[in-house]
Amino acid sequence: MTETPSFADALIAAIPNLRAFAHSLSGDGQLSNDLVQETLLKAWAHKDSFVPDSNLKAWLFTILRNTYFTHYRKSQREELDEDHAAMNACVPPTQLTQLEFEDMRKALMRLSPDHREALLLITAEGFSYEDAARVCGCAVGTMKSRVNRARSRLVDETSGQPPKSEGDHHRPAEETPPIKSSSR
Amino acid sequence: MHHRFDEPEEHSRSDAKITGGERHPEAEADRAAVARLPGIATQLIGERMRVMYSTMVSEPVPDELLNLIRKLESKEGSD
Repeated sequence: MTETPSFADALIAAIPNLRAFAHSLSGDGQLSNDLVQETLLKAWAHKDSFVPDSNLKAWLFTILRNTYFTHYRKSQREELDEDHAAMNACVPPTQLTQLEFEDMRKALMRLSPDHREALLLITAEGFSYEDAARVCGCAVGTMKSRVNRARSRLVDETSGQPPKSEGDHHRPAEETPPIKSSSR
Repeated sequence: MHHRFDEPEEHSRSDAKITGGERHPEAEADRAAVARLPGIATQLIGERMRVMYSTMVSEPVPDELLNLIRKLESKEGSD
């Protein structure tokens, strides 16, 4: 007989992916742990708003990205060194060489946060465009466009072509979607 | 406006005009390779990204995060 995992167990199971997403978004190992911790606290505090049997991962990722963008906007205002995000690799790669790993990370960090999260959700996390759009609070078409632009930019960078200017590099102020459970 | 990944480079498209429009199998193969490159690059980037990401996912979870959940759970249980 299988027992339904508790909310706590489900949160624990999601931690590795939350950390990877936070680390890839922020580029900072310590910050990513702080973001995950804050996400877990918010999720626990709002767990009554999570609809059982809906997509917990998408719900948690929504909280995490909103937490990150709140931090990001704050750090933009404080004019933190924009390169800090490309530093602090904390784990040696096992399948990519260190150089490839760093190149990939740095190239990723040169994308705008919008494009970075779109590429991470679709390419790395394997979210559907619909779920990723829900997480980011945008239209599915916008998500597709962001992924294409992000890919195009990474291809340009890795092929040695000068990257095209990214019109929305500085993310405009955007309303943070409310913390509520995904419908799926 | 972005170019399409599968669109050949301008210089490769003009090769036929330079050579008088003759069709050479080797040149055709070169052009096809150029046309395919961006697609392959996109694929490689996707693969690299997934490898990088899965490496991060497999990192050990810090105890502080696990303890946090357990504390929240036990606090709720005692309330």
